[in-house]
Amino acid sequence: MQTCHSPLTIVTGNARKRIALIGQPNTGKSTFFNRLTGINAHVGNWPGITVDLLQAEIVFNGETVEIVDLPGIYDLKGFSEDESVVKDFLSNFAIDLVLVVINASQVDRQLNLVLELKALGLPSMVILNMADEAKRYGVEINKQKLEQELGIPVFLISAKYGKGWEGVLTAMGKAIKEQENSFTVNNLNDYFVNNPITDSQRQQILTDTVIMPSEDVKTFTDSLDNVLLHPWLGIPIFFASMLGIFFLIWYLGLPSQDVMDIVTTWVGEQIIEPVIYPLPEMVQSFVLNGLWLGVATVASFVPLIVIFFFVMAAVEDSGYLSRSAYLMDAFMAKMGLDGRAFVMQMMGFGCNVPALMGTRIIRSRPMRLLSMLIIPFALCSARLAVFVFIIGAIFPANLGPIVLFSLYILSFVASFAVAFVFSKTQQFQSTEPFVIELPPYRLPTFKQVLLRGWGEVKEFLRRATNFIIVGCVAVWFLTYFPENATGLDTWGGQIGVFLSPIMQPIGINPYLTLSLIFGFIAKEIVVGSFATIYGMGASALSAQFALTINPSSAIAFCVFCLLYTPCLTTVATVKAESKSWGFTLLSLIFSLVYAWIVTYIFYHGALLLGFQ
Amino acid sequence: MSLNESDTLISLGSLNKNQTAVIDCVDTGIYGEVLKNRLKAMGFVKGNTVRVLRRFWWGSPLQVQVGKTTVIAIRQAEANLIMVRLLCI
Repeated sequence: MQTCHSPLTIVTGNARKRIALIGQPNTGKSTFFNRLTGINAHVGNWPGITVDLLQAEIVFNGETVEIVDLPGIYDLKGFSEDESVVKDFLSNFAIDLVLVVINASQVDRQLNLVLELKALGLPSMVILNMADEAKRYGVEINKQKLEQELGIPVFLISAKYGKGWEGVLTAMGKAIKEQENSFTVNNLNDYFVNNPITDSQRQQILTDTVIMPSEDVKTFTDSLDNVLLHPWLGIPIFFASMLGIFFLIWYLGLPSQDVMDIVTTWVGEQIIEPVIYPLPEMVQSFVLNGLWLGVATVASFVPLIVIFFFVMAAVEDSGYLSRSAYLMDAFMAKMGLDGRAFVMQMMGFGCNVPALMGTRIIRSRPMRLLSMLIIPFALCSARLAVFVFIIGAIFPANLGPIVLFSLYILSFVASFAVAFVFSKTQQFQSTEPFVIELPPYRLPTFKQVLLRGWGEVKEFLRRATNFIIVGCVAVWFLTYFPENATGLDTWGGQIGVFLSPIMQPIGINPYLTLSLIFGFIAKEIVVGSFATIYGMGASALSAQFALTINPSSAIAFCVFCLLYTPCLTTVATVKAESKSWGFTLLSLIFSLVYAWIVTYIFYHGALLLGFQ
Repeated sequence: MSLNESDTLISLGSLNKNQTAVIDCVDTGIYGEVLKNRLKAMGFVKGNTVRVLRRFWWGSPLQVQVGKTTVIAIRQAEANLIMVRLLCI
């Protein structure tokens, strides 16, 4: 081997020891992280690192240790954004121990990452995860021999079911205790140019330690793929399962929202009102109709989002999400996108924000921008709550799910129409390769889904709570002043009246315009703002809506709400991810114009069809 | 092994459903190092076997088994960059 300066720098004084998790995508790295950290994980703050990294503090033998989950990478010296993030992290933040998570049944092709870490000389442990699956495939790994040849401790475990878990914990505790130095890695690529890892090196170790199955194993996944990826059955099954998820949310998520409303109303009336009774009337109104309304709005979302993300986590963990990318690819290619953009579009149905962040998996910038342009048209859970309220108030109960489902279809069609047109322009044209892994179908465990869902809810609360409360306070200001004014006489109402020459032609009255203005801040507060704007409780409001808004106006409002400027958080994410004000402005202005045009068509279409 | 590798190089993209072949080389063309690294990490190395499990509408994307334990989805255009030798039984 050639000699060259090791890129490793010893750093003393890592006050809190740090363990980094590295591994390819689809190795169960997150599952491993979740089992290790439980509900303590949170998004860390790493100066200069452009993506969110999950981290947690756990205690080993009385010593607090930091665990960081680095993004999934294929190769340490790679060129993708995630690979750059890992490199940046390793060069800027000292590490005490690296855990490389490997899918045991694919050890033949994932060993490279281990060899790279070994060559660098970073203190490491190799976690051969999914040992149960490897056994089913007939992959035999000689653990002792592998340890010997690598000179790194190796553990065969199942992070999902906890098999072999104790051994890993003990070894981690021991390794971290004995580890006195912390390391950073610089100029990693230069090092590998001079000291490449050869295929023969890898092959030699594999020959000595691993026996891959010689025959094709007929697995359950093959049989299931025959049905789920069937050229003709695949797509209908896919859409049926999507419909199933909507119904689940409709019949489970929405009633739970009512329960939350009852709780927050009770607390407001029975606890807060008596406490603030002695205060001046204006302060009382501010606390109850501004602050508390904000809190109640956030609270009412929690059950809905919990259910949505639980379902999403289950679909993702099962392996079906990447199948949907395969199923939709032929279709997406026609719009200058690929299956991954479709998956992100689906993610956008939960919340546009993580979906926008998730577009990082798309390597070509034009395609990524195109994907980011259409994600804000995905009907997110915040908009769902607005639609549910409006639909519930205006349409008969048996029509409800159908109207809602139509809005989902419209969301898809409106997004892809934009993609189709824009992909023809030079700025958004791309030649992105499409190669994705289709992992075997796996049964998601309850615990894993719960942990994932919990993490997402925590993120939502962190990101949205302040926004929503500030938004509701803003609503209060615009609707409380001038004092003793109500409805359209308030400052906000006057803005609604001022805009009516634009909004009246698409069937949206000044009251609804006002609520849309607040929707700029967050769609979550639209429903909350109705209560303040009309000065009524939820049930009285429903009755009022049924009387004063006709179905075609209701449709117009929903369509406009679906397509116009997304919430401030989304706009901020578009800016952060695109790193371009030009693109952010394009996205903002385009969506307003687009919303108006589509709404105009729907409103007048509905009128022609006789929905008065 | 009692199987013989054909002498002619063909592309993965030209295989039919259920045909098995041995990888010879990957020419990533305009996609460069990123795709080359990705394909290598997915198991596209000389000597490994590939089998086309199915093709979707209009033949793309392909579902391909790489080695014995990896299954991927790949578009026709990218599959055309991977040169293989057909296995004759």
